[in-house]
Amino acid sequence: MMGTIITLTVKNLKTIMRDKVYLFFLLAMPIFMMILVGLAFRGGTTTYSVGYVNYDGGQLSVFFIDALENSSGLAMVPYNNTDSLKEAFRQGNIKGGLIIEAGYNPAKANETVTLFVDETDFSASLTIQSTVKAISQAFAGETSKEYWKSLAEPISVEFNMMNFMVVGTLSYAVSIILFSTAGWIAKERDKGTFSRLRTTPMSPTDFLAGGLLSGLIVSLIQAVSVFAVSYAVGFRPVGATDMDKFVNMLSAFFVAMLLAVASVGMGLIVAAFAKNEDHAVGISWFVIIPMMFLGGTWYEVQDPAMSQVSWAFPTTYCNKAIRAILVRGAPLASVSNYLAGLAAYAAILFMIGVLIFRKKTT
Amino acid sequence: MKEQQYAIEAADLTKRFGNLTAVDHVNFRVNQGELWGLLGPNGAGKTTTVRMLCCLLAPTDGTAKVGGCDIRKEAGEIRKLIGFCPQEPTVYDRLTGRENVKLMGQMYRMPKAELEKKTQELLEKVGLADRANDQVITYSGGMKRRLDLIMALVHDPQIIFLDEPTLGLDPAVRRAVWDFVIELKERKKTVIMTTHYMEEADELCDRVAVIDYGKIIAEDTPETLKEKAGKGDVIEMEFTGSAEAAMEKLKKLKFVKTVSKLEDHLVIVAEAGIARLGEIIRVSTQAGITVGRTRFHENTLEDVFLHLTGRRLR
Repeated sequence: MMGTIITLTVKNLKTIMRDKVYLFFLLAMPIFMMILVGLAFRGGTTTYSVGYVNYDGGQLSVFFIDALENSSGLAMVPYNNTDSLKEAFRQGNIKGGLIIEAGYNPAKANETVTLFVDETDFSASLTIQSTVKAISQAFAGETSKEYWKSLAEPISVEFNMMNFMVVGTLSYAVSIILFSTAGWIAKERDKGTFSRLRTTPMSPTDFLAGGLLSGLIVSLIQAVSVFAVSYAVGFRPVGATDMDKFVNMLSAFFVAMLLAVASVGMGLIVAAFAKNEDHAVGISWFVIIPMMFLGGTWYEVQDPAMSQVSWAFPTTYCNKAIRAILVRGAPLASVSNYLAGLAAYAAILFMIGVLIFRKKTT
Repeated sequence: MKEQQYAIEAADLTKRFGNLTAVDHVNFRVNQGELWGLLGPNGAGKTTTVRMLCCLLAPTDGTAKVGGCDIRKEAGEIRKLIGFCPQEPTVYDRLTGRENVKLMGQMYRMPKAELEKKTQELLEKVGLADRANDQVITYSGGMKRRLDLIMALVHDPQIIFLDEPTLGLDPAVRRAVWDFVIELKERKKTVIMTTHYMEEADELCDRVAVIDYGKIIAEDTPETLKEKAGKGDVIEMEFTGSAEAAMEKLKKLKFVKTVSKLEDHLVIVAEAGIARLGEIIRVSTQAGITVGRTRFHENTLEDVFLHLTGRRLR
């Protein structure tokens, strides 16, 4: 059985790698996108000026401002009062404003902190909001355990658009294995090659296992390619040591592979409803595009209602987990909730795909 | 393969798709080492029958045994015994010819050295050795068909299904495929071949079953089928006018075996019909029809089909 699966995997890889159209979409396009991202966001971290007024003046609020200042993407500029802060914002001198009320309480940041950003500058608003959010979350967690003094240590948040886009491109690259899976199954069915193989001792399980294995290998090649190009154009994962960075990269690969399994499962489902290869590819994009745009691939979903909807897409779990790992240096264990969601999606979608495939082919 | 008298036995084998009965309670037996043909027009049920025998379709009713194994219960065993060459070239365009053949052998877990040897041997036999390492997408239709054929044979199966193996091929390639099939027959392989080319069935098959609208309407050796349809020459005569009277008068002639009407033709099978053509035309003219262009040839399986169904095979 294993020999048959390996034979089918090799066959699938050869047919994919020799087909220029598939090769373009699966490998060349993500790499090309990553190069463009690199060109657009190279030069390392862009620093955005954020004005602030600290009405609290307490030690905690000062630490909070220091933490923001120490993050790589923000330059904190003090103002005396709210009016002067707003005026500076209107003049375009700062990209965002932060007002800390008297009685600042990290656990009730939504009552004691006001933040406004330049919504017309997508990159700036995203950077400022994400950084403030990350540090506020860190503060709230620390204070709830009454370890706030440990905040003397600087909080490192390596947020920049490059990191953000690397995760998006990786997620996109792995998701599109859906379309190659759907196209592959539909093609095997239309051309009769699957029927022909079914007259041999090969079982449908061998066939699907070969498809899954080749899909994972292609996804792994995609992930390595995206990371390699990303590294070349300036991306650096978070990590205190080189070993930490390496472990974080491996963790991100692992998460990406879970998304690949889910994508292969969705490909099997799409193929079941497609009339032919072209139809399968067409339907696939109707699935991939919402997964990308509502799954937080290129940006955080802002609308609260759509943010809830986004949990319906496995890409959401993948993007949040990989961003936590690569942007905030979170260990794999701390994103276990996202991993559990993604693993459940992968298992359910793959099982549904297998059941439908078997029903249609036996 | 289990010990049994017949390579294949079909018992009331039936396949329905919704309201359409594609194969309707067919019964037949194929002997070991026999080349058995299933002859019929497009849509008659040939391919559906073969797909059921190859365990690609489940029968709606009835069953069949292939190599002594029941197609309903022992599909796994049957798959080890058979080789299947489908109607359309079914190859991987992005693999090379050699890779395609080896892929099929690997599915049967053939030892590597044996597979290499057998693949090369077959590629040489069908004249593809020079192009064996090119991707199949660069092959002509005839080359793909030859490749298709050897993909079904690489594991040396005992029972081989060839579904319209020469469909759409030019005469030279068709002849090459015929030679290959004859060689299989000489090697005592059981071959089940569907075709709608009567000359193909006539030339190659030990026995032929004629299938129409899902039913087998005749089965025997080509010679016997032709004899049953009326041994002799076949005269096809264009006419204008009412044919009924002429047909009645022609049927009364002692040397005339059968008379059929086909649109604006009368098809007459007659002993020594060519020598008696003058008499046939005279009787027809006297019966009130005007005789136009007239052709004649020896009896073929096409005429058998015409005799059985009143329609041409294609």
